[in-house]
Amino acid sequence: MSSIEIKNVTKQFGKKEVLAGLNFKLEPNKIYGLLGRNGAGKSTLLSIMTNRIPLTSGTVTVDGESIQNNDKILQKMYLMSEVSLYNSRLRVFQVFNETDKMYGKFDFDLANRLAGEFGLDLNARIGKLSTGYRTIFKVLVAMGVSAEYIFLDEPTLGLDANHRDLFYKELMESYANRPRTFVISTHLIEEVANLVEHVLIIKNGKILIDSGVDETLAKAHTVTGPEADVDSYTAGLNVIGHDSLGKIKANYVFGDMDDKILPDTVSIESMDLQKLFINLTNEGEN
Amino acid sequence: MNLAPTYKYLFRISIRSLMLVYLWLIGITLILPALFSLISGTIGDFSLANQLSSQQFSIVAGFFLFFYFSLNDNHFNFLIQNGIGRKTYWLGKLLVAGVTILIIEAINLVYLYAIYLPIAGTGNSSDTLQISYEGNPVASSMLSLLYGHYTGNELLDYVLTTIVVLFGLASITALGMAVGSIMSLFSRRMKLIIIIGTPIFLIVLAIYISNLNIHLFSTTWIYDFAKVIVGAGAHPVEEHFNPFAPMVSGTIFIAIMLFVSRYFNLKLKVRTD
Amino acid sequence: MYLQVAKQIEEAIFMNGFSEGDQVPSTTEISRQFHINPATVLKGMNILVSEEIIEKHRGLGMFVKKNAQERIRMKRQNEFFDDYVSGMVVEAQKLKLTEKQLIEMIERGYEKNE
Repeated sequence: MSSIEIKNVTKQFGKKEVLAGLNFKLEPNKIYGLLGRNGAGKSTLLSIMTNRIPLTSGTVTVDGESIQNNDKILQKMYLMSEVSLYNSRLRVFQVFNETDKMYGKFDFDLANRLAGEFGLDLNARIGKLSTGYRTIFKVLVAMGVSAEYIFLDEPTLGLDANHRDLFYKELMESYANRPRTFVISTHLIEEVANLVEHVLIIKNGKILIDSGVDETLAKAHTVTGPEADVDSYTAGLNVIGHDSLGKIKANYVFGDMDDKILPDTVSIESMDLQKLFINLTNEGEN
Repeated sequence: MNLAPTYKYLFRISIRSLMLVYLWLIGITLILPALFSLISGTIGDFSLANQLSSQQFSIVAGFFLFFYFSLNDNHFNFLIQNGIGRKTYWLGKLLVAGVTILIIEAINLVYLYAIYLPIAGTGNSSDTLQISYEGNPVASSMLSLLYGHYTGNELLDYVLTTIVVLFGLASITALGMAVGSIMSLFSRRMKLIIIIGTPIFLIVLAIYISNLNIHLFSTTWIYDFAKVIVGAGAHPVEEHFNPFAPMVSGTIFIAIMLFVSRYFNLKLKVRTD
Repeated sequence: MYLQVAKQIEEAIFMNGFSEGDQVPSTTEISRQFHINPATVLKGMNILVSEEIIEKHRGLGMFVKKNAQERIRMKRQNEFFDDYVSGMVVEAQKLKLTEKQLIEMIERGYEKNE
């Protein structure tokens, strides 16, 4: 098992810079949350990491070897993307078979059992599936494939609450049975907040946060109280956003607190990942 | 490099497509006319021998090789989804193209000897080999006329012509691969414009050239160059062509086309447009 | 998050959801059921192990230790002042309740629960 290293990766589409110099590392057997608003560059990044599209500059390496047309490395990865790259006339079970031929050791037991639980017809042509079932089909391939790095781009797109619940359950079980790296790119932060171990937050093509969920949340605080008291208490701190109700204000702080004495009127609470994400990635602020 | 599964995957689709094309061909050239005869009540006049053509398989095979091996997107998409890079894809495609050409040539020969000659040909004529040239792939009746008498040894001439034919098929395939790889650089819309635009451009060009004085043309270096490529002597109308010339020029042409196709194949990317 | 996991299991043991000597659900089961990363669950479990509330039986899983309930009770008694009393006094002061009034209220609470 080896880690994937992303160094100074940039990507331009014409004159538009989508990725502006990314640096990070993916370690084996961890679950990552790749978070970012629409157009932040998540899908582009995943496409570059799996060598689907060329990068403008920078490197993606595994053990110092470039991924560029490198089958040995590329076959350690599997990207479940929003666009389907399979021939839409293929049937679900045929894609399972083809994936087994290419990657080897496809987990037919798991994929077939999940198809039953989700109610996906193995004989259906993939081009004829509804949005939800197309997602389910893609999820099953991604769960069954033997690759060590699984990238899931919006794995719950179009799924109802029951199917999402089932997906998260099965993901956790499959991960426990066969540890591998998952990178989950999603909008539903609340649902994956406890499931991911490490977060990568992208904003405007740059990595904003790259740390463990616990560490990240340990640095996030909600300071609530009368406006004046809150503002004076948080002066000099990294305030990333605020909410107010009448004269009561909540300032969201990301980073270390100083040793100012806390006024009686002001309280400090923790912040959840979703709130942190919203405040960090709001346009115009920070 | 994960060549084996790549080759198997590409080979399966290639053969399936080729068989489909042949089935269509049989349907259109045999079954459809037979049905018409049946409907019009003239089935008694229907003759299998009249419907068989010595050329149809060859011509269709030529078109198939050009167009099929110019296609990229679906295959590339599937392979990159499955962790197969561009280099392996290109090599797999090249191998499949080679094997497909051999299969096509084999089918042509089987068709010629097992079907066409017994049914429509002159059968036991001592001149079988002579006639068989006409059944060879892609305009080979012309090819056999041109190249089939170079050494004077019937068997050797026959083998040489077959090799020339193989070079012809390989050149068509390599051209298709090169054109396809260049086309894959463009967006779907651009491709459409090119596909519609190219025939129009060629027609205009043909009209222009036909208006030129052919004698003027025949004295230019282009004409001399063309003669060298095809292996024609100083008096092409009377002399037999040298079959080794197209082998050499074919090798050069194929090498250039493969270079182009590989160069642009390495630039392939997943398109979302 | 792992603190919450520890707290939930502890609560379950305290409320007799798992008796002494019982096996507690595996990391995988908890992870699957509540969509929590197994590493987080394990961290929570390890807190309980260090607090001697549960113990690991090699190859079998986690089991509730002897006297676990008693230990939880002791721990919670120690935390009671910080968790409830201090906060209650601060709130009482905000509401301008005197110490006497507060004690009276506590007594009333006891009467009601008898």
